[in-house]
Amino acid sequence: MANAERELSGFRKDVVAWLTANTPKADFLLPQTFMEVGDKRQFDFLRDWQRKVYEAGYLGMAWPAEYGGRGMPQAFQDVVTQEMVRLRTPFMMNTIGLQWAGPLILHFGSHEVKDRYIKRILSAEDVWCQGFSEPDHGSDLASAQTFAERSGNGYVVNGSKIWTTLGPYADYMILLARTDRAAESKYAGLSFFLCPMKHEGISVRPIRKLTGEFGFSQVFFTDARIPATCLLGEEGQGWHFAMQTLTFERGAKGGQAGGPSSTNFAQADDLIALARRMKKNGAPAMDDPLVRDQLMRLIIDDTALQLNPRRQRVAALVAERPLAIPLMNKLVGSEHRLAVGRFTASLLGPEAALYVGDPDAVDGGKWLRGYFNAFSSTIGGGTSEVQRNILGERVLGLPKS
Amino acid sequence: MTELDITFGDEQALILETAQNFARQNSSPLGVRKLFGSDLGYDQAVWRQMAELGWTGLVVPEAQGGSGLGAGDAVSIVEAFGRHLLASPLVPALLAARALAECANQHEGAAQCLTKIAAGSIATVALSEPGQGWNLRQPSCKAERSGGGRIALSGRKCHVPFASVADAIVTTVTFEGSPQLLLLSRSDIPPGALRREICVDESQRVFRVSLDGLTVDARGMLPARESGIEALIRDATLLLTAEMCGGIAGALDTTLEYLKTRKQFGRLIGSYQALKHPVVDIYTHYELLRSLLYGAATAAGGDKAWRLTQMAKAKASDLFVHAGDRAVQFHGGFGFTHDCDAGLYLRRAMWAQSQLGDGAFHRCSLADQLLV
Repeated sequence: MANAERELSGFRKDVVAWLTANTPKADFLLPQTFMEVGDKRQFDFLRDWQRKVYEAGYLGMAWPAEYGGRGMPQAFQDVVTQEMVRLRTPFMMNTIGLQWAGPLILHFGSHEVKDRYIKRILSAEDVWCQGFSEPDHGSDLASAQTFAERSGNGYVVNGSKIWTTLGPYADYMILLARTDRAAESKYAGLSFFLCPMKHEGISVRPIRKLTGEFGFSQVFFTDARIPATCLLGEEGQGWHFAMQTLTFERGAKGGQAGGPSSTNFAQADDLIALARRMKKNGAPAMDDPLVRDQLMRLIIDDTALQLNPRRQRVAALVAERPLAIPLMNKLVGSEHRLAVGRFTASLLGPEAALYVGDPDAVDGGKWLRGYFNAFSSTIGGGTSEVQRNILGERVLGLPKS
Repeated sequence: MTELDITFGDEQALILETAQNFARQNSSPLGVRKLFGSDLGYDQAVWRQMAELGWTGLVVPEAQGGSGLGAGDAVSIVEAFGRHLLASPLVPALLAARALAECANQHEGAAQCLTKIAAGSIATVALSEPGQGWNLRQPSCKAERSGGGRIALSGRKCHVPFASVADAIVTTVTFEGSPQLLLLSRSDIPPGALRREICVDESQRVFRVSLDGLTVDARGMLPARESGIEALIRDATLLLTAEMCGGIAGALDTTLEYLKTRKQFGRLIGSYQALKHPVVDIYTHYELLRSLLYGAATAAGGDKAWRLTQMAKAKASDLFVHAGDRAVQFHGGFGFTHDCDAGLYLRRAMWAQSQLGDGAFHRCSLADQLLV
């Protein structure tokens, strides 16, 4: 054990040295998360960075070597991810491939499927997007209406997906589509496809967000003919795979490639520095007892959020409801970030009037942009309200709403 | 805060499991209500079982017949007691033992007292004083030499648990200008110096103790240690927070049970999101609190452990009151009656939040440490 710890701490030093020497600097405003990649310049910069990290051996370290990973213990990848977060390097843009579709393919894909996709996910040669939500069915995934009709040796897809992050840049989509309208339940009629995006009959329209940025899109399928080999598993397994994907997406299950999906600019130290810098009634905001109280509330919850995964590793301390912490991660983490966003906006005082683009906006407007962007995770991947239903019903055993 | 971790060994896991079963078997809201009317406030047979399990000696040094563990090792026991509202003098005994253990080698009275505590003798601690708020580090109670190896005491203590049945009381005093700990025995305090307080939490047995006019043997002064009172406050805060964390779980148990059985407008009320979602929010924050609590309990003492304890106490204070408040509200008309168990938890929450610093107090203290 002591040897392993020594090995890890030596490894950590190497990682820090490599990141310090190789992290590129952008001379333009980078997006905050993988959900806000809005122009070609940002996209190219982030794709090059991911490839560089992968080629250095720091991505997918715990994934099987035969498919492009390194077959090492997860602890090594965790060290890399921790250091990237700590050093605030740019994030790994191909998040949907690395953290959601990749682990899904590794768990359920055939040898051919893994061989075809996994390495190119790691190197960012193939960028992935997710086609779950539809214009009329946001949180109610099971009601998806996009239809894939069997035709010869393929499927003909019609319909539309929305909130598709990275849509304009993606090479592939994990697509939830209906293959049987007469199935015994709405769940049983769904199937799961690994669908090519640069394809006839598939078009992408960027959507502008609350923040003013682009980053997601609506995807239209118009008689798009895709090969039958795109089907993952069998027809009717779509709901199962979609739920598995969400388990990875919400961090309730391990197996992700690693690397951060965002650049955290609002850690405790950043909040403290901002509170010192901003003025309230002529004095540093930090002198205000209410500001101090609010800041401590956030730091306390931040500390608790860091301790949660530590406790999850102690079986005796999670024995009563072992699923609680994995299932609550997304809800409490995203709501915490939203609260941090509101707090930073409040620190700006009258300066909160100015937004991204104004030369006098505090820090280029990134605090307000950060607040607005925080809604992406309280809404995306199942809204906080849906999460509360899941926790109430599955963890606390309350009757269904 | 760097290096956050939670380490929990097999011994701790065994204590936790034993304590959860013990509390479930030996306490219930009905049992708690029966004790309301008793002067003693606890069940002596249950107390004897605790002594047999070795819990009264948990933090007593091995040389005095105990297990020599730390306050953090008692957290899972006290947490389980809090959940089931188990009334006992265990927490004050643990705190007195922790204070005495530090000087067991230098002080004969302390060593003797520790041996008795391990065997089930009742001991308690006196920290709070009327009108002094949460400023516990500078006691206004005084001890002064009065000749003949005696010291004269003055001032008053409040909220002293089980003072009427305690064989020993460890009290904070200012002695010759410095805050110190004094060990009093039952014979030092005449019955007239005690007044039972009417506590918002009817399961508490807490007393005012008047020290005015008392003279006691000077050998009761424990060896002067700068950190003596500080360590006592830290231990007391940790164990109170453990009890509160358990209390929140108990309030949730009560609320969930009702939400799963009560029907209105033809549906179980737990199916309504107006009730379900607030309960989930209380629950998720309870889980966050529990991580802070065990982070504090298993940190190896020192300032880091204390900061985590303060964070936990701050969060527990607000959350326990909120959980109790919602427990009453979600029981509807029944919730407003004295018979509803939700009220037991709300009253416990009001008591516990008011002791050793509330949420705002600890956040202010933490801010002064962390936001310099």
